This record gives sequence, C-alpha cells and structure tokens, in this order.
Amino acid sequence: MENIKSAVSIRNFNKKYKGFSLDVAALDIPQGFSTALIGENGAGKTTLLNAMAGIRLDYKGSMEFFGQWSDKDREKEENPVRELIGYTGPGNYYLPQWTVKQVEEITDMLFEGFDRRRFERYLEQLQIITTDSKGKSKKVNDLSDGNRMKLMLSGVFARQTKMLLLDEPASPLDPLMRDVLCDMIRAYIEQGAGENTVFFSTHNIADMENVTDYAIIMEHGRVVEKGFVEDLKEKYVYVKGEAEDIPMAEKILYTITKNKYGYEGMCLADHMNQLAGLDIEVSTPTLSQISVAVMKTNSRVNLQ
Amino acid sequence: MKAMKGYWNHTTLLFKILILLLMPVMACLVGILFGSPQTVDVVLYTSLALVAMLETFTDTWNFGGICNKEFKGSELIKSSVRGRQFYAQVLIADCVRRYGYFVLITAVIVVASFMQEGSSSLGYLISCILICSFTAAGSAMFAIAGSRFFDNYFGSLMLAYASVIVTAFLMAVLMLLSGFVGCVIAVIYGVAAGVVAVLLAYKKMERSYYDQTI
Repeated sequence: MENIKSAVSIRNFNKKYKGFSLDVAALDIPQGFSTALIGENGAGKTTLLNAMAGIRLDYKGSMEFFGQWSDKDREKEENPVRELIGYTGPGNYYLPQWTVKQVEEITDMLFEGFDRRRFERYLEQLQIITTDSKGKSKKVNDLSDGNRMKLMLSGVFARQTKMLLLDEPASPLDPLMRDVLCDMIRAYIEQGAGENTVFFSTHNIADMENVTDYAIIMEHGRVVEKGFVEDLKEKYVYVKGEAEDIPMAEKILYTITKNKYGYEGMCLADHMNQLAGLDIEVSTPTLSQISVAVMKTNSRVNLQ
Repeated sequence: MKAMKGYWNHTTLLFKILILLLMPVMACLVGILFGSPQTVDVVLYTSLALVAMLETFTDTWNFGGICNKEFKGSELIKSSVRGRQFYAQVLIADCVRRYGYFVLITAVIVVASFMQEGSSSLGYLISCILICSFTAAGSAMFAIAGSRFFDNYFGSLMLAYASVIVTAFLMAVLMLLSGFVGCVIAVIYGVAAGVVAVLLAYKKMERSYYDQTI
C-alpha cells in the first residue's frame, strides 16, 4: 500500500450504538481498485459505508477523500466530494412514492454529473422497466428487490464519479445479474485508468471474487484482516489431511473442520513448516475460504 | 424556479391531477357558479374547509410519515451535497403553493360573490380574503404538520377532519372581529403554521444524519 494512492483514508474512526462500537484505527481504500468489505451481519459494514457516503455524520475520527478533502470539506457545496462519490444502499434509498421517472428527474437535480441518456440506456439494458406496461411511471415500491437494486446501480453508474460505495449490491440480484454487475464494476475501474475506485460490502464473496482486488474483513466493529487478494492467498494455505493427524493439526491450523475421515482447514503460510511430516494436500484458498476462516476465528457465533 | 421544479418532481401524479389541477378549478367554479352576497358565507366556508381537508389528507402521498420516528429519509437525497437544500426547497415550495392556492380560491369566490353587488368596499374584500385564506391555510398546515408524524392514512384522516372544524370556527371568530385585527391574527396564525410545518419536517431530515448516541 506504500506506493498506492488512497481513495479514502480513515483515521481513529469511532461510532457507538447501544451495545456496539465500531472502531477503525486506520484504514485506507486503495484508489483504482475494487475493494470488498466482508463481515458477519452486524459487523459494522453498513455503518462504515454510510459514514463514508455522508449519510451518517454522528461519528468521531477523520476521513480524507482522494488525498485532498476531509470529511468536513465533503459537506461544503464548493467541494466536489459528494459529486465524485456514488452511493447505493439497501435501506431507504428512494422515497416509496417515487416513480422511476421521478427518480431520474430528482437524481438529475441532485447531481451535476448525471447523464440521463446513459441512465435510460441502463434502464433498457438491464431490463428494469421495459417488460412493464407502466414504463417509467412504475413506482419504486412496486419494483422487485432486484430491479430496485438495478435502478440504484443505473443511477450511480450513469454519473461522473470517481468512487462507488455499494452496500450489498449483489444480495438481491440473480446469478446472471451478479455477473453483469461484476462486468460493470470491471469496466468502471478500467475506464478510470487508475482513478476510479469501487468499495462494496458483500456476503456473496464467491460471486464477487473475480472483481475483488482488495479485501477488508470486519468483525464486531473492528477490521480483523485486510490486504490485496493475491497477498492474502499467499498468507493463507488451504490444507486437507488424514484423521490420525487431527490432534497435531489442531494445534497448528488457523481454522479446522473435522470429520471421521480427516480434516481440512486454513493454515497460515508462515506455519506450514510445522506441518512437515504430515500427509497433507495443500491448495490455494479462495477469497471466500479465507474470509470464512478469518470470520470463524473472530466470530462470537458458537454452535458448539 | 428550481424549487418549483423539485416540488413538481417530488409530487405523485395523482396529487398533481387532483390537488394541483382539479381542486382549485373546481373550487373556483363553485365560487363563480354559486357565489352571491347571500351565499358567500356558505360557499366560502364549505370550499375552504374542504380544500383544507383534502390538502391535509393528500399530503400523505408526498410527505407521509416524514416526521415519524421510524422515518430515515431518502439516502439518495442525503448522499447529495445539494440534498438538504433540495429538501428544504421542496418543503417551502409546497407551503408557498398551498398559501397561493388558498388565497387564489378565496379571492375568486369573494370577488365572484360580491361582483354582482358592487357595493362592498375594497378594504372589506381584502380583509375577507386575508382572513379566510390564511385561516384555512394555517389550519391545513397545522394539521399537515401533525399528520406527517403518522405513517398511515388514519392519522391524516383524523387531522383532516379536525382541520375542517378548526377552519370553520376560526374563520367565523375572526370575521366577527374588526377587519384589521382579524387580518393580523389570521396572517400570524397562517404564517406560524407554515413555519412550524416546514421546520418540523426539515429538522427531522437533519436529525436523520445523527442518532445522538455518540
């Protein structure tokens, strides 16, 4: 990260809810890359994204955007920070009575860089309203969850932005549309020539892995792992072994899943030499396997 | 202009047809067709009370529940640097439009009613217009300010009925007072109601950025 510019630098961030505290001492979102924010439900992903987008302002700490503007600057109209950030969220994104037409009109009024032609092209390409006789007069509330997400994505991708903050964009989408979303994110990053950044939260790690360059894993309001996916894949090794080696492997592996035939789990690459002599099969883990292993280690969920 | 455009874009189609177009036309037509010095009281009170009730009830279509505890605001609006300004403009435009309509409807009914007679003084006509329009608008705005705390039609309906009673009662009382005093009270009442309604909704939007737990 030393030579890579940060789209957002977060320092000493703290947000308290009743019985929950989100603490991020230092976090940098690399500029020009696609970053996934992964974590259990209630880990603080949405709160962090909301704070970055300026939807929530009740936090302590500081944020710096694109190396130029602070979070205080973000609130001033003369600074283009909010114009450069496209945010979509699963909450009350649109007012329920709005129609698709109103969404277009109001987005146009709210954001300078909104391209109506591009928005309309997305509406057609993503088949949001073309199958409906009501067309653009269809109410947002009458759209399915998937179509509502597609509408939000159309809105942000139709704008001139430098960073997209997408909260759970894949969750309501079907597998085909998730693939389309990955293509859109990839194209956005490529068009930006190192300037465009995407920061998204997801539970659908496997579907989004091929578009994830950098991953941040959160648990209980804390960042417990972060890094470029390629580096994480070098840091962790996926190991399978025989049942008789379980007692030994248990002491060494980062996480382990056992059954009567053997075990499998994640091992830190640095600890691999301790497994010498055991009959094991090793492979490069997927981001999904790494995330689950990290979450398992840090989770408070306990089924035993 | 921008405020009116924002307001126009924010309102639902049914509201545009029913309230922005049909309602004032109908109210004015009633005034023109049935207004006379003998019937002006009935026509005016009935029309304005009905308009106040309709305005209160249909506000739910555009701003339903925006002062409710559960209302979180629109994240699209909140994510824009112009979001607060847009929201304020929409609320103010709504309020100004409402006053404009009440004054227009009252003026048409009063003028149409007294035109035939021609003996009423200009001062009386103006005080009549000011008292009736601002009283009705004020009652509607107070009812609307209250109804925005409800996210269902029941609350709005109850307050819409209340606005009818309050409008009729206040208009009758203020018309009994001398012209100038009645006008001043009506204008203060009307403007205060508008300010309260706009401020309540705007403050709620402001508070949605914070949850006061920090």
